[in-house]
Amino acid sequence: MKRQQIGGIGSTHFKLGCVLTGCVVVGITGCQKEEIHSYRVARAPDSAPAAAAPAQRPQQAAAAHVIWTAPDSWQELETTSSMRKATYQAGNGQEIAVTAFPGDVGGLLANVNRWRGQVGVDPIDEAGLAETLEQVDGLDVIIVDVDGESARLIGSIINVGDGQTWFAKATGPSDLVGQIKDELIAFSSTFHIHDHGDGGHAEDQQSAPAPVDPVDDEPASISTSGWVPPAEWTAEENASDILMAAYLSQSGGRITVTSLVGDGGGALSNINRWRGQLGLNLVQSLDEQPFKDLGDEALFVDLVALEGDGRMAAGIVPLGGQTLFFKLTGSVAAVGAELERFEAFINAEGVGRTSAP
Amino acid sequence: MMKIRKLLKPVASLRLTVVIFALSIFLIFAGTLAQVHSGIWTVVDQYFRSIIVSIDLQIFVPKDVATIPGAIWFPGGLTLGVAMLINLVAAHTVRFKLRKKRIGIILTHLGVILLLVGEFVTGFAAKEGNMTIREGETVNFVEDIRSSEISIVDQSDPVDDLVVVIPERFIETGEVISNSLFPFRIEVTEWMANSQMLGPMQAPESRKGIADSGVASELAAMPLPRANGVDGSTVDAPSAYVTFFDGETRLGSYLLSVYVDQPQRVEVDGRTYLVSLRFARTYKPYSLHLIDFKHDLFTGTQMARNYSSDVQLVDTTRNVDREVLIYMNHPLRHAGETFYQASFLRGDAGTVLQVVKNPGWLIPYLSCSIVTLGMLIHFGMRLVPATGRRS
Repeated sequence: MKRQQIGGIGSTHFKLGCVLTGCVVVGITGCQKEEIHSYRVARAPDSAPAAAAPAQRPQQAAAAHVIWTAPDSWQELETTSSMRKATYQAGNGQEIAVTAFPGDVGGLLANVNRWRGQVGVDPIDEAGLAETLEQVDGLDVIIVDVDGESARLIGSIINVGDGQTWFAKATGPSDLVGQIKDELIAFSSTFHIHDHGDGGHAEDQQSAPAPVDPVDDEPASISTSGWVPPAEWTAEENASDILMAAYLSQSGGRITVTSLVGDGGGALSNINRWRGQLGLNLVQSLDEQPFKDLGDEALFVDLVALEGDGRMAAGIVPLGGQTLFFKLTGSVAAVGAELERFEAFINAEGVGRTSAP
Repeated sequence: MMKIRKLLKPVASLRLTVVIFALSIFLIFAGTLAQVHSGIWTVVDQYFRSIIVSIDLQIFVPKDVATIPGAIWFPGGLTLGVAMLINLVAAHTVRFKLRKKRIGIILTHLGVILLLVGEFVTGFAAKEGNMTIREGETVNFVEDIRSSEISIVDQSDPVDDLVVVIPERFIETGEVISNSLFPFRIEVTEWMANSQMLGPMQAPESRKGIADSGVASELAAMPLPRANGVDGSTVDAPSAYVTFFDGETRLGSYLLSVYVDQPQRVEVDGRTYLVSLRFARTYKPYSLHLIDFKHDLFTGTQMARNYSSDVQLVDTTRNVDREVLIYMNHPLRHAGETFYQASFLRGDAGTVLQVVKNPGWLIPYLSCSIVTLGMLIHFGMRLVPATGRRS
């Protein structure tokens, strides 16, 4: 009982104990906070900025090491902006700028129209887009050539699967830009993610070999003639020629199907591109992205926009040396209403599961 | 001795012990729930290594069930830990009697005291960070991916850089930062503990044009919720919009972000300062040069079989210059630090080593052994006479 009298709650001793304990705690923590300070460090000419990108950062920060090879006749100029990855001067004096931005930077149409605007040419719509684009065989490289009144612009939009969109662009007098078009296309075809087989890193990017995977076997073209969409869908009028198929659902969703050679840049980079479009953080690996396994390496994802009423369901289906990308976009409710039919469509015989008859 | 005992009596109360235990149980419960919305290290710092914590009432009820506004102030883990330690030591000092039959009890409590001391040592002295090295690069600093800093580099010296570091706690408050170490004033317009970068065509109108200077002015940063304890290993990527002033002269608004891998130039009185937001760095007296990083797969699959980093360790202060292979479960130990193979850069372009320094790493093992021994002795001493009486 004596102990209780000494240390009872509310007693003077107890209060004194609490005050003493508090003083000790404050004393221990008081000296821990870091202040503004300075130090000297030996200058590292080029390693520091690159090393400052830990792999745990979201994808655009820990961007894969993309390398390329410039034609021998091009001379590299000093680059002053971090947005520019490199600047070259071709043999005829024409300047070429290389830039990269996270995600798809607003999409193909927005980028093409931005470039058209830069040389004083009116914007086009989705339907007119296909006519202005040239695709480099076997690679995810799109060439845009716009000859305006003031200048001509030839640019390439390159997707190497690192979660960024790369651009190589030449703007100037029509004849000068036209002279280097073939060189620019060849240059754009050399962009790829560095791997060990390249035997180098950032310092030797100019001399690194540029293996362009040969496409020996042209994949068989997939016909959509046998596809039977659900009765609730109607074929979209004036859909872009880039799309294999496009439908509009009664619920207000839009269904599109595209096909790319090979793995189309890979599931991860495409999912990250879509995540970027929806304002979602990028993921490092598919382990971080919930998906439904459709079998035969096909997968299905359902993404809801971080802000606003947007949602995208997508199926990535490897088929006959190509990859089909099925996309259902719209409001959260519109996509939700169509989800079951959409998945069934992907899994339908002759559509996503086997080659068309 | 009597005087010391008299002084310690107030904090030796058994009631105080019970109160501290009850408060600790509640704190652990709340800290566990808080990890649904906050990262594990945020919770460790806010709940368990703090003097006092503000506990949001919302953590006890899922948001889709009900919205509960408000918060309660509660003693943090540091307060309770110190209180428990003082209480335990005081109780033993006041009531200490060295008797044979009390050896088990004394040992058990000694183990508990050691465990508490071990956590203080870990909390205050343990350092954990990452070394990210691309193939062919040499790195001599460790980055703490849980905190960031603004670095201001003055390169006017031909050999060395003068680096001024502003810790995150000055940035996150959103206040004006000024110091005699740099010649300008920094106003933090917006601090984003976690963020996403958007390109010129991706940013909504409301986020465009906030920064008007610097290499990232074309980009926009959007705040994101902080990484929490249930979404995996996502790391917060902080960004900040800041404005620089030289006296009353506005020098420009900049977007600083860990995403922007190039320092931004701020000019004052003809001198250029390179400013960047980066993960907090600690420079080391040694360096690691990555010779080769290997990511081996099981044949015919994409399943990883092994990750390994072939590095050259150079430490002139210890006359060390040797090649080391670091791979899973085979870390490098050097200068009291341990280097684990933790991750790698995409495209296998480089390695990420986790660098851990914890001078108290042995204490938990030791304390648990002492507690076990104490309990064995205590119960053994009671068990033997009891079995003797029964037989």
